[in-house]
Amino acid sequence: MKKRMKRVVALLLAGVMMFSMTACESKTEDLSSTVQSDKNIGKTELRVLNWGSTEEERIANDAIARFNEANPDVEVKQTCVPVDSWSNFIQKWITMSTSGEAPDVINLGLEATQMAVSNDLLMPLDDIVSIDEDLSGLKDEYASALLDGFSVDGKLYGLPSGTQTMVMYYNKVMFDEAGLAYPKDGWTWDEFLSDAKALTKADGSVYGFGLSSSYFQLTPWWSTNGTALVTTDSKPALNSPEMVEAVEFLDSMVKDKVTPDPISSDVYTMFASKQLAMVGAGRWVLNTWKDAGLTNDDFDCVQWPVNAKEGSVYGGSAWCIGKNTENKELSVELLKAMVSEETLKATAEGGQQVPPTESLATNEEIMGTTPDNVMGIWKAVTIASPIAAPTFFGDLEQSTLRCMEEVFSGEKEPQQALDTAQSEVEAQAK
Amino acid sequence: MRGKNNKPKYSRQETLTAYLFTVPSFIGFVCFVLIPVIWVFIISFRQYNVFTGASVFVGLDNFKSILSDSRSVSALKNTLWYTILCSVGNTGLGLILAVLVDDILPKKVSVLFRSVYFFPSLVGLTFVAIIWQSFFQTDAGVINYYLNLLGIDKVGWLSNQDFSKVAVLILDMWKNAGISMLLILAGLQNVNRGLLEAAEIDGANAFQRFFKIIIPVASPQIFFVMIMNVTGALRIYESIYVLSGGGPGDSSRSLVMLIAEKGFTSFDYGSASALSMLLLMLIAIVTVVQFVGSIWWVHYE
Repeated sequence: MKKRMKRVVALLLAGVMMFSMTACESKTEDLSSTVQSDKNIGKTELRVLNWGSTEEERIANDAIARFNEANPDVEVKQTCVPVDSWSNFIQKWITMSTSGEAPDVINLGLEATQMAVSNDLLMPLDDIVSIDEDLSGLKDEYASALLDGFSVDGKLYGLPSGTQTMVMYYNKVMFDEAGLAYPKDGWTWDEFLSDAKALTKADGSVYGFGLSSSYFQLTPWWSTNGTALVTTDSKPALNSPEMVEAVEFLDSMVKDKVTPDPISSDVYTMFASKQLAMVGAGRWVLNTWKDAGLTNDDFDCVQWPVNAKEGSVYGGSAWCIGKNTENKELSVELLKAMVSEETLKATAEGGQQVPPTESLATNEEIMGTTPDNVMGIWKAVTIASPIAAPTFFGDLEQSTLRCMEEVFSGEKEPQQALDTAQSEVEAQAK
Repeated sequence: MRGKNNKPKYSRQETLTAYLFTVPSFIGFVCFVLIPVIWVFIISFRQYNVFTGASVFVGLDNFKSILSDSRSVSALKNTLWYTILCSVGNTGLGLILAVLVDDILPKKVSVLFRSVYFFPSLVGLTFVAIIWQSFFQTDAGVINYYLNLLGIDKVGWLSNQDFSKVAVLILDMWKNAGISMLLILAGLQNVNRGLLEAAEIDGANAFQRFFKIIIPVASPQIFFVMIMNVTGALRIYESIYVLSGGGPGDSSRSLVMLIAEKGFTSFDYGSASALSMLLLMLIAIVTVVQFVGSIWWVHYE
């Protein structure tokens, strides 16, 4: 009898356990933090949805404090979430909205803009900007390429707070030792490849270039070959002849061992520890490299090598206003605090993002003087095209990266892998 | 205590108290498990728009589309691979470690090693995975460096489709064998020392003592650990997510990872729900098979 009871209990326990284990765990739970105080019930409330590090959360809180000086009886709640995928960010936004906590002011990545607009989550800002002197003055200062990224069908939905791009960094000492001239803006893929081959050491201690198989980092290769993952009318175009050519070029570097394994390598650490002669990156690596002891004598940057046309990629983030905000005037005031010169400066001084206006991005006090050509970063922004971010961004990113991994791991030929990815994305984009 | 039935009778009061104690966990179960499972079941027959909340009944379309998708088939194959190797690996290694610290190592060091082996279960996987990623790097990784010293060529742990699952298996065993060890250790404490000594005097060697005495006595715990590891491996997610992200390609992607991708990247809740129902059925079948199988090898005292 006792034995049977034990078995029944064990069975029940296992049953419960099985169910609770099937419930898929969510990873993002309490990483977010909410700033709030309950003292001031009855006040008008605004909600801010932000993303990034605790440093970025602090900068936004400072801006909120400045907003509160002028509007003392408004309570602002900031939710700042770490972002590892933009689909998750949109998901978070939807969750807030459906639980009656729709955010009024949102910091949105370029990647998610079309997704948010097509789901009717954002308010167009054109009318607001045109009647406001400060904002229209600011708008003229932004790089126009940058405003395009946050516009859909000619309507502007966000005011940029920072941007990011890609330039090619190279190790000067290694170029000197190999007897090569430093690369110059407008150099070609062929020149790049022959340099990279000459800089690669046979014993594997130095590779000519560090290729990184990630979405943003790969994009300059597409734009300098005059192509993109989507057409101008937002249709997937992964298997265009130009795309195949670019992927074949990258694959040949992997096969020839000019680059370390693009899937597992940490290329930025390798560049800092002088295992790579060249690597592509934006501004975000500079602080780490300076801390690692790299100086103006060690490295510099140059625009991306060109095959069909000069170009690069830019991404970035912008402050937007939620479609269904109940306090439009206050939200506009808060938005202005978020893109005020003080806030933009503070963001830029963090050293991660490139400031969105020319005056800040070409200011030595903010951008520093390492490397010599640090102003080349702003030039890259002005010639760059926005990162491909259609409404089906999540699927496009996943399929592209899977396809690249299949090519780099030698499972598939570029044409075959890109054809598969194209049909996958088409199936989801319809 | 009255009457013919010698089974102890509990008073109404006591029964009520007992039920009251189960209420909190029961409410949690209903709210966070049962209702979501029912909701997932309903959604699996519908096309659901996350943004508007509207949904249309589509019958078995979701099931048809996932069953004809080569990606779900490969995710299913990978999941079965993980289920077999991770559960056997975790339970086996847990058993070996448990015997090691219980029996073989001297008492004083065994306390230390018990903590050492259990330690990986306590640390946050997300952080440790970064370290493992750098161990597994093809060109600059520590593991390949030592393999190289042994004269073995570079292995693309995270960039070769044949090895990515092995890398996940290694991380998963490193992380989870400690819990298995701890639970089996509790079972080993039940083993009567006198029994072992008697067997030794009768001439039983170490292997005979292990298979004829230790395993049968500890079998309920081993069985429990096995069930836990099998269900855990069927829904393996974290170890893959942080290490290989499912790649390269789809070579290390499990069913749960595919569910998360369909649901939260493609916002295709219908297909994600249909996949979840398939996974639930799979887990149910495997668990029933294990329970039936256990009749032959698990001994309750």
